[in-house]
Amino acid sequence: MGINKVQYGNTTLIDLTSDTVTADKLMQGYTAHDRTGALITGTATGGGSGGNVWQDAQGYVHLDDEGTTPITVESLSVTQNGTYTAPTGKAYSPVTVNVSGGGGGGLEYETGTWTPGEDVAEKWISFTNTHQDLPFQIIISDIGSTNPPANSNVALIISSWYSAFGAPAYIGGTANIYARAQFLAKGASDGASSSSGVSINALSGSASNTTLSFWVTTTQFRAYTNSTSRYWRSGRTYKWIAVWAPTT
Amino acid sequence: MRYYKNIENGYILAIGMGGGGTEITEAEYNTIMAVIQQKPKWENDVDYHLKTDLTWEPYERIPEEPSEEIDAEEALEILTGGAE
Repeated sequence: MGINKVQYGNTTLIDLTSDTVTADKLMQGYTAHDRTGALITGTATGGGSGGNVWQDAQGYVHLDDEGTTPITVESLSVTQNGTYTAPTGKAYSPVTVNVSGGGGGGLEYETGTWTPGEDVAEKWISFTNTHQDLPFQIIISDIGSTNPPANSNVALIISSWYSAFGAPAYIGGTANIYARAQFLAKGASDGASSSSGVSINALSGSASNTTLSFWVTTTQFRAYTNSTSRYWRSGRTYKWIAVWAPTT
Repeated sequence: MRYYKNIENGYILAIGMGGGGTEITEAEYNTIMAVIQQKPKWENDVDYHLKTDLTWEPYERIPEEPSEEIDAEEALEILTGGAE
């Protein structure tokens, strides 16, 4: 007979009579004393559908201390926008989320910067060869320099700006920006074909002409003769972001 | 991230990140950026080109008067979609 309660005078020193631990709730191999004071050895090895994941009488969830039966972990890939509920009863790792392009409803985008070494009136923005159409929007912002000159802030949005005949179209902004799109052959340097007007029909050109570039300029038709006093300023950094809607 | 520089007629017109231009290393980008940030000030009608050896070459540059208006010829070109 075990001892389950110890009193000294009117003071209770130890009282196990209300404890709830039992051998079947104690993990196998571990020892304790139950409410009668008897030494018990745990027999619990797990329970329910959770394998070696089990819940004790106090509501705590335990994992298999030995690690001999690890929980099955599966990879999970989410390709849709919105709320996604993973199947219950499993653990997932890694979880991959990819909802851009490919008909997933997301947007494709590219970003870049340029910092003129000297004041220039025009600049090419070039994209990778992965896009098959015009971006539906480009945003250019002037993100500054350590020595910003006056009257050079630029923050503009390019959308629906191109002309049917390829001439740079006025797109506004505080610096009077003009732009047009053009395909350049793979490996061609920026501005290689800038001397003539380019039709947007070039977008359906040959497969070898797949480098899409934008010419953003402060002039209208004179690529290399500036007719205004506005420039992309040396020392400043201009950042652009171009956005495409998925095509499939 | 891809780094590049635009060179024309022996001058570095711009550096940047993204597509286009001639690809350079991040170290070269940072080196050129540091030089650009120290460009001599444009004054007394003298401005500066950045040479590929990262030295500044002075040239005469006269400020132009800002103009918001276009002449009749340019207006016609806009209407007809003509290029240069």
